[in-house]
This record gives sequence, structure tokens and C-alpha cells, in this order.
Amino acid sequence: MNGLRTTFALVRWECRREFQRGETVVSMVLFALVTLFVLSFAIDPSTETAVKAQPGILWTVLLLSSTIGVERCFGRPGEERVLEGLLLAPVSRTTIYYSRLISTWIFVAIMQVAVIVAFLVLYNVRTDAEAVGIILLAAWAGAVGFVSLGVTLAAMTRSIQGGEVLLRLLLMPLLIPFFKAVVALTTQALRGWEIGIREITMIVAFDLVYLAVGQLLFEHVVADFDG
Amino acid sequence: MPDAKKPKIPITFLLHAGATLIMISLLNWMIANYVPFSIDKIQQSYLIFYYHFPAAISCSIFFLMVLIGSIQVLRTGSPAWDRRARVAGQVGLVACTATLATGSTWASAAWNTWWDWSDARLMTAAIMWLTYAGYVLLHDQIDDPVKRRRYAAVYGILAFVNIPLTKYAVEWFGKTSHPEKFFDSDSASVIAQTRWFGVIAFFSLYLLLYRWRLAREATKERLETVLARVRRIEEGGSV
Repeated sequence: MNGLRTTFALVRWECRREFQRGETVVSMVLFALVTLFVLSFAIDPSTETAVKAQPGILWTVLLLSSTIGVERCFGRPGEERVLEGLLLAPVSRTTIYYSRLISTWIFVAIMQVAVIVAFLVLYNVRTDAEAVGIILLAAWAGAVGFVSLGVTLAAMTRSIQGGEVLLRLLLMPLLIPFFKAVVALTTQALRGWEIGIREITMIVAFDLVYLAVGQLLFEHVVADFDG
Repeated sequence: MPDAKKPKIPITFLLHAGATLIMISLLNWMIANYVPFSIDKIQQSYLIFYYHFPAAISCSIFFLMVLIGSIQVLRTGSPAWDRRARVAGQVGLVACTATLATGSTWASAAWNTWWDWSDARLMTAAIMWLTYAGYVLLHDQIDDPVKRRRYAAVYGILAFVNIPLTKYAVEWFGKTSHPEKFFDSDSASVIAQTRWFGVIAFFSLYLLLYRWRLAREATKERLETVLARVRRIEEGGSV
């Protein structure tokens, strides 16, 4: 079987698994909702401050709950040994990396749609379809870099004691460039301002850099695997 | 069995320590007597810059060493390069902390705030601090030496790749209040001499710290190997 077909077979397998159990997407969406509620008690959504903070609130929630998806891209950490199984199968490491990347991206993308809709309703954001489209596109684009980074780091931390905390500690500082850009872009979209070229450049650069570096380093992470 | 002797400190290390002490004393003398006591706008608060600048430069050099060490680890799997990268990360983190602390102290005098979330360079340094703290922590959390080497090297590279991205992100989407050209005065050359001398003196200090830690880590790793062998023998296995 060639690489592309194997990759998509693995993606289909993962999607079917997720479709049957609905575990990852449901956890992510519920976690996002809880965080949205907590933040609404922290900053009263009806005030002027909250309106200004809306892009930040949305992205904090999205980032935190996306981490759950990344954390589970090799099954529930400590319980399932999906990575070991895949490494034993006759597929290349690149195939493993891209199949995880695509399937995790799909779950994160579904979650992002649900959370953005929930956010618009709960925070009573009055905006047009164009702005929502821009935010969603930015979210989907950013998720590529996020997940490619996340798959590599998750492959590392899943075998470490206390790896869940470590994953977040290692992941968050690396996401700051993307976070800064996407919050600025969301602000522009929600206010109806012109979309800045720098924000788009930063998101694209983030994606390209971590797609390249992520795959390269993933091979090193799984290189010492011996069964 | 020979008596347990106190380990001898190598003579080069002592010389290095002595030279560092003399250089830092000389730097302090220069700060007190040689450079202008105050300059335009920021008055004498700028004097802390002679400690801030060397720390920032040293921190960059050590983080670059983490990158080089990490690449070497992934290429060769060498434990020696892993040790160098790890210790460089630790010392770089100390230098980064010194940079942030001196910068923050100066900011409280000049900007009237300890921490300015919108200053680009401060934010870059702070995020660098967080990433390298993660790097140092990662080393401590993995027991298997081969895994530890490889995983830490992977993160050592990611941490460095993140620096330019962060730099542009905070510069584009923030503003900077860092003084850019405050040495444009008559005494510019005096100030330049002192600050570069400061870089040498303080880099020597951080290098001393690096050598000390490196020797300690090497001893620790040797001890771990011996202990692992003892354990194997006790369990009835072969040496």
C-alpha cells in the first residue's frame, strides 16, 4: 500500500473510533463550555471590558480545550498504547505522523465550530457572517501548526509520569506567536476592521515552520522505539 | 581500599574563578568611576544596564549552545553533548532570570512599572524564560537516559525555533518602550567599552558556573552508572 492510502486508512480508522465513542470531541467541547462559563463569572459579559476582551476569551478557551485533543492523539494517556501499536504495524513513521495530524486536526476543527457558535450565542456577539468566516478560517489554519507541534510533543510526554501537565507546560510558550496573531485578527474581524497582512503572515509562518520541524522531530522522538 | 580523598579542584578552574573575580571587581570600579554617572532622560538609573546587557548576551549564547548541543545529540546520540546542552540550558535560564530581574528593576525606576506587558523585548525574554524552564524541567522528569537525551534535544530545538517567531509576534502586535539609542552622547565610546568589558566579565562568570555544573553532572552520571551496575549484581545478574 502506498503512503497516502495508508495515511487515509489510518485517519478513517481513527475517525470511526471517535465516531463510536465520541470521547475526544465531547470532552473538548464540554471543557470549553465550562471554561466559557467560568470566564463569564470572572468578567461580566455585559460590561464594556468583556466586549473588549472577547477575542482573548474565545482564544483562551479554544487553546485550552484543543490541548485535550492533542493530548489524546495517541489514545488516553497511560491507558491505551496506540503509538506502540502503530509503530509495530508495517507503516512508515511519516505515515503515522500525518495520520495522527489529520485525525486530530479534524477533531479540533469540529470542536472549534461548536465552541465558536456557543461563544457567539452565550456572549451575545453581534457580527456578520463574513467575520465569523474569517475567525473560523483562522482557527482551522492555526490548528494545523498547533496540531503538528502537539503530535510531536504528545508522543514525547505520553510515556512520562505527570506528562499531562508537562505537555501543557511545553506547548503553551510555543503557541504564543500564533496566539498573539490570531487574537489580533479576531479583534479586527469582530470590529469590522481591515484584516492585517501581518496577522495572516504570522499564522502561515507558524503553520509552515511547525509542520516542517514537527515531522522532522517526530521521527527522532519515536526513533528509539524497540517494542 | 584507598582512603576517600577530597576531590581536587583543577587549577584551571581556580584561575578562571580568580580572573572572573578580578574582572567583575574592575567592572564595578569602572561603573563607579569611569562611566558618566547619569545620562539624558533616564538619569543614573541606566547604570544597571552594565549588569543587564551582559546577562542578556550571555543568555543568548547559552541558548544557542542548547540548540547546537541538541542537534549534536540527535545526530550522534552522544551523552556528552546532552550534558553540555542541559547545563547550558540551566545556566542560560539563570542568565535569563538575571536579565529579567535587572530589567524589571530598571523599569520600575524608568517606566514607573515593574512589568510592562506591551514591551516587545521584555515579552520575548519572558517567553524564552518559560520555554527554557520547560526544557530544564523535561530533563528532570524522564528517568530513562536514552529517552531523556532524545526528548530534551527535540524540545531544545523547538525552543530555539520559537524565539524568532515570538520576537516578530510581539514586535508586530505590541509596542516597544526599550531605549534604543541612549548612548548617543559624547561619552559613547566610554559606555561601549564598559558594556563590552561587562559582557566579557559576566560571560566569564556564567562560564564558570557552566563548568562547575558540567563537572557535577558528569560525576552524577558516573555515579548513576555504577549504582545501576551494583543493582544488577545484587539481583544476581552479570557485570
